[in-house]
Amino acid sequence: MKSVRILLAMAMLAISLLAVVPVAAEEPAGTYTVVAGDTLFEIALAELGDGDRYLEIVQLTNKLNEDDDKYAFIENPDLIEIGWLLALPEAGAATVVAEEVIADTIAAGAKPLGNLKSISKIDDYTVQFEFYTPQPALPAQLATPMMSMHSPKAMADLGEDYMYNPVGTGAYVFKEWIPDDKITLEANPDWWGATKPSIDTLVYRVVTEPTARLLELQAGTVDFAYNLNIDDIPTAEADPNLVTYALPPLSIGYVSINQDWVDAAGEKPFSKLEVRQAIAHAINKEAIVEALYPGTGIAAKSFMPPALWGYNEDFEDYAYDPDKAIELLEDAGYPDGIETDLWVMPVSRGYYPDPPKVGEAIQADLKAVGIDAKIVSYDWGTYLQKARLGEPALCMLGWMPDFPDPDNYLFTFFSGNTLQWADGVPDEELYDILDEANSVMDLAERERLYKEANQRIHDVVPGIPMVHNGAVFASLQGLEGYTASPLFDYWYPVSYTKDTLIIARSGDSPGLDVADETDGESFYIGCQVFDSLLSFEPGTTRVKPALAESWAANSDGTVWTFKLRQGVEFHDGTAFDADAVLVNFDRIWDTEHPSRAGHTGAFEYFSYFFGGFKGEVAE
Amino acid sequence: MPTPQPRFERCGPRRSCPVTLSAIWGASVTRYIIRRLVLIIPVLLGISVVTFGMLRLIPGDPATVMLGEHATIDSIAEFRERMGLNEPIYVQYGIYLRDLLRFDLGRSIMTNRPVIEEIRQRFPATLELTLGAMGFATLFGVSFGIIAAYRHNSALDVGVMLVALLGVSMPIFWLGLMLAYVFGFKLQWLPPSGRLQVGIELLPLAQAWGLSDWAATHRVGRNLLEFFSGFNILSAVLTANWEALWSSIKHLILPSIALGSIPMAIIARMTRSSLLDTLGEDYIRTARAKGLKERMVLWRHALRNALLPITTVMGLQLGFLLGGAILTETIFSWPGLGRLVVNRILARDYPAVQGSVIFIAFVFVLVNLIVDVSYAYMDPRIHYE
Repeated sequence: MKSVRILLAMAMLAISLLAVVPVAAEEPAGTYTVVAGDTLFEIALAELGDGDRYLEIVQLTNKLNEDDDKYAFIENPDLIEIGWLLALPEAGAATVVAEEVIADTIAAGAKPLGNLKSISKIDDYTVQFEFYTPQPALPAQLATPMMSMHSPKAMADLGEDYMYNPVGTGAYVFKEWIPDDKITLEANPDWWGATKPSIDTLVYRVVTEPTARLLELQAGTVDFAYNLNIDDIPTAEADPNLVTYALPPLSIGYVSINQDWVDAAGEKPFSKLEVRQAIAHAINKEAIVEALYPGTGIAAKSFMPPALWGYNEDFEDYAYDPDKAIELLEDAGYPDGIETDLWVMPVSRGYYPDPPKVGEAIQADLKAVGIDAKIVSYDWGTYLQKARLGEPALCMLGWMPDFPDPDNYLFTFFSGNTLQWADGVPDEELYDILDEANSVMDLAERERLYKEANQRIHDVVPGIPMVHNGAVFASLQGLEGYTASPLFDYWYPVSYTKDTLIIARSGDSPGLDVADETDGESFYIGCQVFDSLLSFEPGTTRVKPALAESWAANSDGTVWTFKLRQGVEFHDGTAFDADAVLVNFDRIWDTEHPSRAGHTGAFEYFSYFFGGFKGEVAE
Repeated sequence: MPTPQPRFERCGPRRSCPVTLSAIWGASVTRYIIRRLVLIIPVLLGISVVTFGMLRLIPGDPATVMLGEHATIDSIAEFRERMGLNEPIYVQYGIYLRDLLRFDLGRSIMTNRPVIEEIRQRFPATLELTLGAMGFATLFGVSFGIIAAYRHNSALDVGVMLVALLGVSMPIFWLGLMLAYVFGFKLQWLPPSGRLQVGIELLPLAQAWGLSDWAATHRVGRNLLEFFSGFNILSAVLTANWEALWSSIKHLILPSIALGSIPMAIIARMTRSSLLDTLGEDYIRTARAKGLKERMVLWRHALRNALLPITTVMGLQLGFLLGGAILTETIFSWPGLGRLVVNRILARDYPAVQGSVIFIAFVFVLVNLIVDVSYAYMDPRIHYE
C-alpha cells in the first residue's frame, strides 16, 4: 500500500508540474516594475483584470527568477519592494487551477495567503476545519462575534436586508432598529446558556457627545454609558449615584517613523538607527501620560500591552534623556537637527482621546533636541489613506485589539498589509519571528517567540510606543454581575433593578451582519444577539465552549474538530446543526455564495483570520 | 380711456369663478406655476454638478473610511472596484445623472440601502422639527411684533426687541446645549434628547391600523404609511396614543426653540415694522372711526395686509431652518436628515450626500414656489405674466 501511495503522490506532483509548465514560458506575457504604494492584488487587478490572480504573478515571477536574476523572488506576497521586476501571465482567463497554484507556491517556500483548505461535516453535530499551515489562534478567533452563527434561513430569505434584521441564537432577540436613534433587544427565555438573561429589554441609544452621555446618566435618562471623556472621569467617580468601570489598558497609541521619508536635502534621516533612537530618548512619555491620561493610561514600551501573554518585561525602555538624544543626532550627522512633520490624528480614539494635546507635547519634546516637527492633520479617511501611502514622516496612530492574541497587534503593524503603518516595515528578521510564532501550536513556544519579537522591535525602533489606555464606562447603581470587557460585553449574566436597561453609546451601528462589520458599535449588539462556536468568559480573554461543546486539534494545528451543542434553535425557530455551521462559513469563504450579502461584502475579519477566500476555479 | 381690467381677478362672494379645466388652464397663475416648475430642472442640475464636484474634491477615499483601521489593501481595492470609484470622473457623473433622471438616487456606499429609502426614513423627523421651529418662531415672533408695534417706543417695545436680538445673536449650537443643560439636566422639566421616551411604544400606522398584510403587498401604500408614521405627533393622534403624543410634544419643545430662535427674532422685527406701516394707513383710521374693536381692526384689516412681507421672510427662513436643523439634530440626538448629511459627508458616502442635498434643494424650491403663488391669494393686486 505504501508504494501505491508514493506512486500516487509522484503522479500528482508530475501532473501539477505539467500543469505548471505551459505557464512557465521563456518570455512572460508582460512585465511590471513595482513602484511606491503597490500591492500584488492591485497590480493583478490593473494588469490582469482580476486581483485574485496575484498568485499567478508570484508563481510566474519565482519561476523565471530561477533562470534570470532580473526577476524578483517573491517569498512573501505581502512584502514586495520598490523596483522589483514582476513577470505577468496572459491577461484573460486563468489557465491554472487555483489549488495547484497554492500548492506550488507553498512548495517553493512562499507563504500562501488563504489558509483555509476545507470545512466539512463529519456528522449532524460535528464539524472539521482543515488548514494548509498551522492555525494556532483558531479558538480565540472563533470566539469572536465576527465568527458568529447566523440563521441560514433568515440570510437566504432577507438577502441584503439581513444586515438590518439579524437572527442568531443569542441571549437577546433583535426587536427593532430606528436608524441613528436606537436599537431594542429583548431577552430570549429559551436561550441554551446556563445563566438565562435577567434584564428584559436592552435599548442602545445614540448619544454622540461623551459629556452628554454623562449628563444623561446623572439625569437618569440612561442607565449605562460607554466611553466617558477622561476629563469627566473625576466627576463620575465623585458622584455617589454612579458606578464607574475602569478597563485594563489594552489599546496602544504610538508614533510611527517612516524610514523611507526624504527630507529637503534629499536624505533619509529616519533610515538611521541612531536618529530613531534619538527620538525615543527625546520624548518624555511618563510626563505626557501623567498629564493627559490621569488614572487610566500607562506609558508603553512595546507595541502590545503588559496584560497580554508574550509581553517582554525584561528590557528597559529608552529613558527620557534629551542630552543623549542630541548626542545621537550629532553622531548620525545631524548636529543642526532635522526639519520634519508630525501627523496628528483628527479623531478621538480610546488610545488618543485628545490627539492634539499629545501631539503638541511630542512636538515640544522633539523641538528641545533640535527636531523641528510641523504638525499636520487631515480628516480621518484621508489620514489613513496617506499614512498607508507613506506620506507622513512621523505619524500618530493606534490600535484597539480585535481579539486577545499578540498576533493581532504585532502582525497588524509589521506585515505591511493594513493601513496601520507608513508603507510597512521591511525588517526581515522581525517578520520571520512573527511568521513562525503564528505557525506553531505550542503556547509556550509562541510566547517565547513573541517575547523575542518584542525585544527585536525595541532594538530596531520602527516607531515609538507611547501609551496603553483603558476606557472608562459608567452606570447607575443597581447593576449586579457586570464585568466590563475591553473587547466584548455580554449582558446575559447581569441583573438590574429595572426591567429595561438603556445604554448610551457614541454612534449607531453601521450594520448588524457582524461577520461583515468592523465597527465596535456593531459588535456591542452582535454579542447579545449571536453566539459563536466558542465564547470568551465575560470580562476576560479566556475561551470557553459556546455553540461547540468541545474541540480538539491534531498535533500541528492544521486539522480542528468541533463537537456542536445539540437542541439549539435560532430565534426564528430553525435548528442549529453542522449544516448551519457549514452555511455560515461557506457563505463568507465562497465568494459566489448566494447568501453573501453582508454589508460591504469585504468580510475583513474572515480574510484577516484565515488569509483569504476560496480561490476561483477556472476552466 | 377705459380703466384697464386687472389681469387676475379674485374669486369670491361677488364674483363666481367656474372651476373648470379650461378656466384653470387659462388662468395666468397656472402658466406661472408651470414655468416655475420647469425652471426647477436647471436649478437641480446645477446643484447636482456643484455637489458632485465638491464631494470629489474633498480628499479622502470612501473605501478607506468605510473599511476603517482594520482594512487591508486588498479589501480597499476590491471595494473601490465594486462601487465604481475607479472609473473616470465624467463616467461617474454620467452614471449619476442617468440615474437621477430616472429618479434613482442610487445606493448608499455606507449602508448599501437605496438613498431614497434612507431619506424617506429620516425626512419626517426633520420636517417635524422644522414645522415645530416655524411654529414657535411664528407664534412668538408675530406676538412680539404685535406687542412692540402697539406699544412702540415704550419700554415694552425695547424689551421685546431685545429678546429678539438675543435670539438672533445666540449660536444655535450653544443655545441648544444651554437649553438641554438647564431644562433637561438641571431642572429636568423637559427631556434633553431624543424624540420619544424609551419604553413608550408608538406603533407604525400600518401595524396600528391592522394593515400590515396589505402593506406587505402594496409598495406605494406601504411607503406612504411609513412616511406618515415618521411624524410622531401626527402618528400619535391618528392612533389615539395619548401617552406617545404627550411625550413627542415634550421632546419637540427644546429643539424647536433652539432652531426657531433666529427666525423668531427676524419675524418679530418684520412684524413690528410691517404692522407699524399698516397701522398708519388711512383705511385703518377709517375702521377705527367706524367703531370697530381694536382686535377686529388688527385681525381683519391690519394683520392681513402686514402679513405679506412676513410671509416672504418665512419662506426665506425655511431654507435656513432646513440647514440649521443639522446642528440642532446633532445636539438633541434627533434622527433626521441633517444628521444623515453630516455623518455621510464624514464617511465620504457620495450617493447619500448628493441625494440628500438634491432632495433638500428640491423641497426648498418647492416651498418657495408655494409661498410665491400664495401671494396671489393674499394680495389681489399681484398678477402673473
